[in-house]
Amino acid sequence: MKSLLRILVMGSLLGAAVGVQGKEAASQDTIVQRRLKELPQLVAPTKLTVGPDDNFQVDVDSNERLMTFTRRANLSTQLYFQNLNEVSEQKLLDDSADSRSAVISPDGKTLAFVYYKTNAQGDLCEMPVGSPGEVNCYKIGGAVESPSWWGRDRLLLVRRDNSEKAQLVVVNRQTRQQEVLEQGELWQPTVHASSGRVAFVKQDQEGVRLVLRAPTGTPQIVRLDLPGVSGFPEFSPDGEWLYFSHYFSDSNLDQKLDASDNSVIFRIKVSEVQGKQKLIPQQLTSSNENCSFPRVRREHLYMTCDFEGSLDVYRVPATGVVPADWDASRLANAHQTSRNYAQRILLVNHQYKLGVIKERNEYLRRMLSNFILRQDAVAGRYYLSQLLEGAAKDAQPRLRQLDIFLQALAEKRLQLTNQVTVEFRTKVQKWQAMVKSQPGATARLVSAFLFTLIDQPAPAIKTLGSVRATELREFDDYLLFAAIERLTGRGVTGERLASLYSPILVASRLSDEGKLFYAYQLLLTAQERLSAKERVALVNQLLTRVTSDKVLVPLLKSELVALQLIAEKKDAGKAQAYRELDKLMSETRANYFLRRTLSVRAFDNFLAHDEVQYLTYVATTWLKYTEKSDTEFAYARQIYVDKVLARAYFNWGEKKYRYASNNFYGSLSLTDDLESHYGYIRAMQMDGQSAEVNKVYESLRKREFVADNLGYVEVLLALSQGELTAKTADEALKSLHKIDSAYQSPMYQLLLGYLYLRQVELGREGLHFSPEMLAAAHKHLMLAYDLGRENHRIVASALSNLAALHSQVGNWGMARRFFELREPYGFVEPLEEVHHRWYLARAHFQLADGRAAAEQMAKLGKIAGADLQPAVEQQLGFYNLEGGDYVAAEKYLSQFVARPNLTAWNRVRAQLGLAYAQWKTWQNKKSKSASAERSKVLQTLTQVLAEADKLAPVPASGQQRIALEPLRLKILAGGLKAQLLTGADRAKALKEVAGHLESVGSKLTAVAMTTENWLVFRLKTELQLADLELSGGRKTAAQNYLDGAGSMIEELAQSVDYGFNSQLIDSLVTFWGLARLADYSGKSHKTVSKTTDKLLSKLAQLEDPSGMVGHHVKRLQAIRAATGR
Amino acid sequence: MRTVMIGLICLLAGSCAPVIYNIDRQTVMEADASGDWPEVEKRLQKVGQKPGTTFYAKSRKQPGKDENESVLNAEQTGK
Repeated sequence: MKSLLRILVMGSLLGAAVGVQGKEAASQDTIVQRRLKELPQLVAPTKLTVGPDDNFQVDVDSNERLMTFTRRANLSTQLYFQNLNEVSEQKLLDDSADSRSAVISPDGKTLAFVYYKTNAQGDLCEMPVGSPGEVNCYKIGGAVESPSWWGRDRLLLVRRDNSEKAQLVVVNRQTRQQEVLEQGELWQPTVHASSGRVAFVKQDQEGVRLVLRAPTGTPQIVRLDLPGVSGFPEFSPDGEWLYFSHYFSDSNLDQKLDASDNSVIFRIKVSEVQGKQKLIPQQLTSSNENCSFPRVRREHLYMTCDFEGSLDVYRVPATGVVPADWDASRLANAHQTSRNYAQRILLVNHQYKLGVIKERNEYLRRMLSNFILRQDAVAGRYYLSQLLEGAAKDAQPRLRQLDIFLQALAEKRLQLTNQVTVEFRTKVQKWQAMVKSQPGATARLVSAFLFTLIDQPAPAIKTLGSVRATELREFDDYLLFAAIERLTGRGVTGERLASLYSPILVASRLSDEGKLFYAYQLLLTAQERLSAKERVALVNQLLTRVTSDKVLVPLLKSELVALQLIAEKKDAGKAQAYRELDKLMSETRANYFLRRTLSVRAFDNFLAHDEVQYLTYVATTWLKYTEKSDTEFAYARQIYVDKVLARAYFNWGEKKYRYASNNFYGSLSLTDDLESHYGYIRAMQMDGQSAEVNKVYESLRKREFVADNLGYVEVLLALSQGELTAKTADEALKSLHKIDSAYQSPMYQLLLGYLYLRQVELGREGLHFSPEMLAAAHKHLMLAYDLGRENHRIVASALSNLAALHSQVGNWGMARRFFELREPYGFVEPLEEVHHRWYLARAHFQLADGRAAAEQMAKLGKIAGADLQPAVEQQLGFYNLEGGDYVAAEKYLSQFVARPNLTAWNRVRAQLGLAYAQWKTWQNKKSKSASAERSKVLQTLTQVLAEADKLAPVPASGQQRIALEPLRLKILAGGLKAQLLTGADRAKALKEVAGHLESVGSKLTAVAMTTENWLVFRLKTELQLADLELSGGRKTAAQNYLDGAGSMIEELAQSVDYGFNSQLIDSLVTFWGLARLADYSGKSHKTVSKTTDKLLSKLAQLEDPSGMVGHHVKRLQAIRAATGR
Repeated sequence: MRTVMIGLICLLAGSCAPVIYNIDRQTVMEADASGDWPEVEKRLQKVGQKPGTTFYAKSRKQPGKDENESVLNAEQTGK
């Protein structure tokens, strides 16, 4: 059964990839698109490359037309280039050697790069763009890193010898002379050609820092007022700015700021770098996006970011993600409406740089606040230390207590488990001793927090209970909240929770924003931990504590109304409750923070109870009360769309297609987004309203509500008209590629990927498929996956398609990976799950995991309908066979072959599998004597051989991956049968197999057999026959078979080029053993002798670290010696 | 002469080289002992290939987890 054939490699499927264009909208705008562009919002980075492999080290020519980057795939790095205005991405060099760090010359004609073709340390090489045949390398002497162009005639790089010391070297391209500018521990140099300034990173006693070197004078250290470490400097084209990346915050919370943390891009004015003054640079990207390796050109900042699963190249305006024209009022607006603390850190930086925040102390306080709220103790401590430096003497003790809190927070993070170690407890006790003796609420709050860290809730609660609202000073509310958070769930609920929160809810020094945040957290905790009744009681109790608070009272009342709405069973009761909520929202709409908190609480409540109708109402109200000129509008709009779509999908799930189509229409008329278009068309089709769709779109087009996206709609409508053909798919793809403006839409990428996937399927002929179509499908689907990562409905579809794509082409490792990523999303219809498990089982089988395959098929069997059961039974039998569970295999296959109306091929193959399972079951039994078992196997094999005669070959074409050839079944069944027989019966069976093998010789490709395996098969049969004759005392007959074996051995040796091949060695050992017993000196003796000598001499030249070759050589030499040659 | 011309065309075009596939043990084993279910696979392939979204009725969002719907704490300004 174990086939002797081997190894398919489908080739490097993803090598010749179709490129990705990073296109911002360029064509005619609709009303909706114009409105969207007018919305004030932070700029989202535009993605230019796509995973799953890492793409990094970008460089772009001065005209921003050509981009080059390094891709890491399969442990190898390769250079690619891409025309930014076209859909093209090409590998620059062949796969024979690694290459990286390409930089484009100022005239855009030449690439300099590091090449590992002839030097493991890397050579500096260059070549004309697009001419891989003209690579020209320099002899640098040492490892080469980070080349950059110094005008047209020079290159700057780092040369490193075996020590860590490096040299900054300028190479003259004409004379090839090298000049050393600097030495030491340095990295990542860059140069501004016309000013002659060089910047690089250097490590000295004070740490890793940026250095700026002018043509004259001593190099300047760039002193930055930032926590963390800088790298990758880059000058702006005009030389005014120095851009760099900076590991700024402890994003991985390992309490170190290093290269494992999220990187942020900053810039400083070169003219400001002087003396020992510390500079606050301008932040250009958010720390949430982890961007590094800046390349600045006139229009854009190109960078490598890692926030969507792989390293990829992105771009934003050269001024960064905060629009350059934002004034103080817009920055304040954006700061107020921020959605995360990283955004606020970015905006506070811009407010400081613009002079909105005038005092450095205020800037430091705000930065410290945001880092504490992000729970980033490392960066927080930096800002705290800066505050301490300038603090008045009486303010210092409180700041030091706050520092103990941050130290403790950091230390707790480093603990590997929740268990309190002796060492940690000792540290906490030391900190306790430092704060215990000190007066004030801050010391007590830090003390309470420290108790929570060592699992002592009782003293923590007691200490917190002693804190009065009037005592709270700056940062104290954070400390109180941090302690409460650690106590929550440890027996602290309901009334106790309300009492602990009380000081921060009633403290007069707290802003509305702060109080609302704490009230929101309390309500959210209550939602997670208390029953509806307990929540009502808690809110009523809170209302008695905050009787006259202008923001908390409406928030708490709205919570009660939302709870009432959820509890109501009747629609009228719900509507009545909602009217009260609506009144509260209307009355309080002028207060932004209250509006936001109240709406979010309503969402939290309604979402948890599927009150989708009221989700939509709240979202509509939020949007209605938000001005378009407000930075809040973009968020409110997105929330509205999200809720309307949630309602549309809910109605779809209820099979209320008319309602669903109305919801989708409501969304698309506001957003023109493709998900709404897709949902609308599908819902209209399900509602039997397809004929109306054209009219609706004609109206939308006339009113300028849709323009480019009409192309997407037309493709969808075309796809619904009957079966897709290669021609219609091709036309659809051409139409879609014309819609540049949709490029960043995951729905657009999903449809493109789907069409390329269908092209792969339609164009497949046996094992042949189009690698170009595969690459294009993979790219667009990965883009859909990346761009749609927040939308589980898109992600699920993208993953289904990716899994289907790689199953189609036999890329089983990738297929399994995507199936496994897809599984947690769940399935809408049973047939979706059937598809998933069917092909996942196949992927497992193809990756030689028969047990996992059988497991998937067993799950499938539980959900599949009766019509699929025969297929499930057969597959279960087959996969169990591969998984080694022969009892289960026998059970399923015997059930299967007993079914009526099976196709002849399916029946015969199942019988062959059944025979094998029966044989293995028999072999595995402790007592092997039962002749009945043997007869059962023989009977099944006899059936296989008889029925195989009636089978017609099936050629490989279309979805039939490889040809089906009855002769193969006969050879396998015959071989197995021979193993069960003895004497003359065995000889007869072996002769039949030999005959089949003989006849298959002329069509090896058709039966998917290699010459090598065919020869091995034949040799084994021939030698077994010789052995059989010898056992019967028929030496002459045995000698005849040895005569035949000689030429086969010679052929096999030639086919493996006299290399180390265990099958060949085994055959020779057997041959010589039999020759000795048969006193053989016939015609093959000389041939096989020569072959053996030649093989032994070749093997003697092989390196043999494991001793494996030597072992086999000894076996062969021993048996030859024994023949007395 | 004709043969020479064909050879020359092949040499120039590089397209007459036979396409060679190595077939792995699992694929051959599947062909030898598994079954073919073309109708089943045709039906399933249609289900597994999606031009648009998967129509989940429910949202996967958890209360308090959507960044767009977040509520932030206030900064300390020292004022």
